[in-house]
Amino acid sequence: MSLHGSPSAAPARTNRLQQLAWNIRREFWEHRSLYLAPAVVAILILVGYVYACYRMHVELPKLSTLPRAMQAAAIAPFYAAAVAMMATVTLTSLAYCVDTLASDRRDRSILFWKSLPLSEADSVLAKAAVPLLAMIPFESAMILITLASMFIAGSAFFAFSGLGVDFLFNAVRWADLASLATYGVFTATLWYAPIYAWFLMWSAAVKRGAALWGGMPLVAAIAERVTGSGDRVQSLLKERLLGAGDFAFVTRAPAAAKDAASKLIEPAPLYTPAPLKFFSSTEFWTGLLFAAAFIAIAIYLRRRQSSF
Amino acid sequence: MSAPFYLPRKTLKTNGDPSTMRCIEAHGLSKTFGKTVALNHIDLQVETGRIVGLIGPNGAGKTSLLNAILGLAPYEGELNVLGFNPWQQRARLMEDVCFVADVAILPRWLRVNHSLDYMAGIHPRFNRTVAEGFLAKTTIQRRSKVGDLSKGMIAQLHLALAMAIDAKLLVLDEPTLGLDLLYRKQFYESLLNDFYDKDRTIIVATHHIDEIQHILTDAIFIDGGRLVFNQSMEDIEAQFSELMVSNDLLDDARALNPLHTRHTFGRHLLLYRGADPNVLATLGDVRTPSLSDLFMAFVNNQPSAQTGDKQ
Repeated sequence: MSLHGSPSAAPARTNRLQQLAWNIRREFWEHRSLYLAPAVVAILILVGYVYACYRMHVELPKLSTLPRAMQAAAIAPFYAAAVAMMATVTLTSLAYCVDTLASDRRDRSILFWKSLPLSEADSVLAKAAVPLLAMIPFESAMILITLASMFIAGSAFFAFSGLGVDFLFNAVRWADLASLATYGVFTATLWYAPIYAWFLMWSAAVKRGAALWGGMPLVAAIAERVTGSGDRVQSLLKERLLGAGDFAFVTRAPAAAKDAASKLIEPAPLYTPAPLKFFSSTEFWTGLLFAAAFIAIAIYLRRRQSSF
Repeated sequence: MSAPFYLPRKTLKTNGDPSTMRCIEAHGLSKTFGKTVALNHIDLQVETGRIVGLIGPNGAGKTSLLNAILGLAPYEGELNVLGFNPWQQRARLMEDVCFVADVAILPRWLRVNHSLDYMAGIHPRFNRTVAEGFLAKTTIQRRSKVGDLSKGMIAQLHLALAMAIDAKLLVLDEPTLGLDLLYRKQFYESLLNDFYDKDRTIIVATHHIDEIQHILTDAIFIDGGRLVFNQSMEDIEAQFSELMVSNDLLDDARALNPLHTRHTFGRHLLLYRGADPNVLATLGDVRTPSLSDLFMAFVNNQPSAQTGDKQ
């Protein structure tokens, strides 16, 4: 006698969004580095910041007559921490893309996943959604938590140093910083979409060495440079790897320092979000088209892989 | 008596009764890898409620056939599984099909409780209570990772996940590979007791022929991409006889046109199809051949043409 009784004809269909959510969740179970690496870096940043605060406490008497320099010195670590966190999440996401489809084939668990009522598109899109969708709120939250922790730790420190608890509060425009970080994460993720998708495609194509295959454009750029045969690949790569900020933000230099000492510590350039510029750029949409094409190829490859 | 598992194509008809509905129907099913022919124009019908053993040597085409049935690989020819085209409609098909390959395919990083959560989340026919009940009979810890479990435990976990799916077709590809005899017996006992009923169909591909013989309703031998043997167990019992004969009566036994002859422990074993058991009994000991005896005869000798195989 079966435990279920006779098979029922029409089971309740599982919601596609629910399936996507479970598939994303299972990616985080498998690839714990997605959240562990940023968490470790966040802790290191916090420890480094506390140490820097201590060092600053020693130097503060010298800077006490230079409010502009102090302000810059107070804000700079927050920008640096946000950038470091974004770089960490980007690298972690890239490593994830390189590994995720290939690892299913290496350990033969692909047979288990293929035994489930999920299409290849469901599986690959869920994997693509990790760096392109799920990591955005996670990364934003991690950055904000890190910055908030730095803020609290810094405020406590400055309170003890005699500058008062409001020193950091006045120096750091919290709302600006939070919105800047969130917007930066969002645009950077979309900007890097073709890179993530490119590595996903190679992860679907080969069991091992996806990073090497995916890194071929870098090799091409180096070859181009060595042989002096133009700079097409180099400039393409440079734009895609480093160009997100150019399209997503309008930057302006801070007002000229009035005193010589202030020039010793320049505040970071001021960034203003430029969503219209970003979303109307050909480069952004071209990148998304390539990302879609690479993901489509990854789905095709995964579907055709029958020789396990 | 239930409908024969395999009949010539022109006699195959369904009457709407679930007990005789076709679960799998293939015509001219072919698959090639470059110049290698994995499946060679296979015609196959499997009725609902059967337990079919798919048996063949390595490279015979078992996995290729299962891959086609499960929609894991493209193929040529016609194939219908539970009313679906497996290659085109795999995701939908897999709502009604449960597939267990060898125990090594469960991801090693997966925790037992996560596997239950995940299955409950994505599979519309998964019954978590059934899986929990099955696991409660084992010593598997919910927080354990698959990689920390023994092979036997992994098999139990995989079976628990499979049994909890209210599937119409269960496909097993070497499900007990690497397990000891005890776990293998437990596996098949659970399969029969907890999963099987007349509305469900099971296909088992394995090398452990003798271990599964008692649970099968049908046996298929595949070799060189062709089905070289297709019989229900009832037909095997009715049609095939094995005669053990001494040297002095060997010529008389051979005169009755055996399908296959082999020599063992000083006696000769001759396999017959359609021979009168009473006549054979005058020459020696007669018994129904085991599947492994038939396998040796049909696969080693490539006798599909001379045996009157129904294909």
